Amino acid sequence: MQIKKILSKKEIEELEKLIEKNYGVKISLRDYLVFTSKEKIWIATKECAKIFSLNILINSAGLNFGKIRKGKIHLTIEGSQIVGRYASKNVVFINKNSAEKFLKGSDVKAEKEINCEYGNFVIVKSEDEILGSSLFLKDKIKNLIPKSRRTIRF
Amino acid sequence: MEKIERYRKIFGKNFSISLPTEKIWTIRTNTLKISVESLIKKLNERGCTIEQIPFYKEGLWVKAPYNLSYSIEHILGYFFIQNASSMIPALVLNPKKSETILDLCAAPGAKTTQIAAMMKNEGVIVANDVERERLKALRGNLQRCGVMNVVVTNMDGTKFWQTGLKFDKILLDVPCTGTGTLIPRVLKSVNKNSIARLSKLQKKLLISATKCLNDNGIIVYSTCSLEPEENEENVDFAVRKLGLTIEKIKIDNLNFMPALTEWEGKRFVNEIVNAIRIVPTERMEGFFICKLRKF
Repeated sequence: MQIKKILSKKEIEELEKLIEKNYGVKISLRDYLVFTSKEKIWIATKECAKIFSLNILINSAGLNFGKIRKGKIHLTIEGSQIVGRYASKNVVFINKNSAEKFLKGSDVKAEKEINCEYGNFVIVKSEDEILGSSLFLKDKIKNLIPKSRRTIRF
Repeated sequence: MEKIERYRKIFGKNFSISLPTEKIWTIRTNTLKISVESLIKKLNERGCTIEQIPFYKEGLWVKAPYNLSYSIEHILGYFFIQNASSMIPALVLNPKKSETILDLCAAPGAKTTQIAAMMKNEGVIVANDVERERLKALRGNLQRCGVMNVVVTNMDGTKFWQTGLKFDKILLDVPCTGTGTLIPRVLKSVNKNSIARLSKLQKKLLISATKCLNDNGIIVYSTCSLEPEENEENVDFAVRKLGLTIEKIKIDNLNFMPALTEWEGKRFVNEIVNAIRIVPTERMEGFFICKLRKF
């Protein structure tokens, strides 16, 4: 893992503002070590920094939170689970049947939308489960669940 | 037949190889994402029958009408499919948030994710494995379980001490023959040479781990092997040659037998009786666990 940049306090605040702008929820990341690797954003405990400071080759660290793309933030499943519980914007609900299709990798239609913007990433929920984040288009939710996280059957 | 006779010398004359007659999944609740109660409720609603593992309430035996590894709960990281015996080493390690932990042979991450959950995603764990391919599975499992307190390294464990890093506690779940699984293919492939080769590697890993340990620190040494050469012999080496001491293991409601005090004419150190063996059964793999302290 090539750690590109460990975010400063100010940069973490900007990330928090971006999350708030996109998902309508204020989350605090200041107690974590936040860093980028390629275009991905990672979150780790601050104690991980003492390993970073040594001269050893790190393969990976912390949790892949998501990617920033043109001022929008595409969250991983785990990033969605952190943000999604209290998100009040760009959230869609799908029914149980659609959830099954969604986790198999299909595009689906939203049953309920909360302050969604076309062309932005949305957190996909089904009942009390947070399934991840995907792209909200006019006619569908474009599936962005990685292949490694798809299921074949329930 | 030769192997059965060997194992009867270890476990007694009634020992036999009994493979599971019905599919029972063993899973560990990932408490970083869900409570035990909520997971049980979800699985019950999907038609599963659940029994909690007596010595660890997060561990569940599940009869499921479908493949649990493809279930939504698994994909979302609510549980880890892991044998009950393999949950014991982390319990013995008993990690605390304030401690620095090393998991020297970590992939694919069952025990690393368990330790992370026990630390409530705080502090830091270094998870190392020598095999680059197996790190993919480790990284995938850490992500799926929502783990934030792990740094992954890809080093030869026998040389890890060269990093100069020191730890309060080390999990040393060494590569082993795996005979505790009682899988016929595994039992067939194991021979004196493979046992000797692994026993040598395990001793090297013990030396490296000891060098990485702070004074008063703990190493939990474990294998899923039934072979005394990979278990008692190595712990005996750790006491006699590395100066470690063996501490008693206390886990309520866990059935185990003490480690062997001698094998094929070789007498082990007296304190070896504090190490434990899990007798292989239909629900639990054969395992060896020893808690070692450095003074």
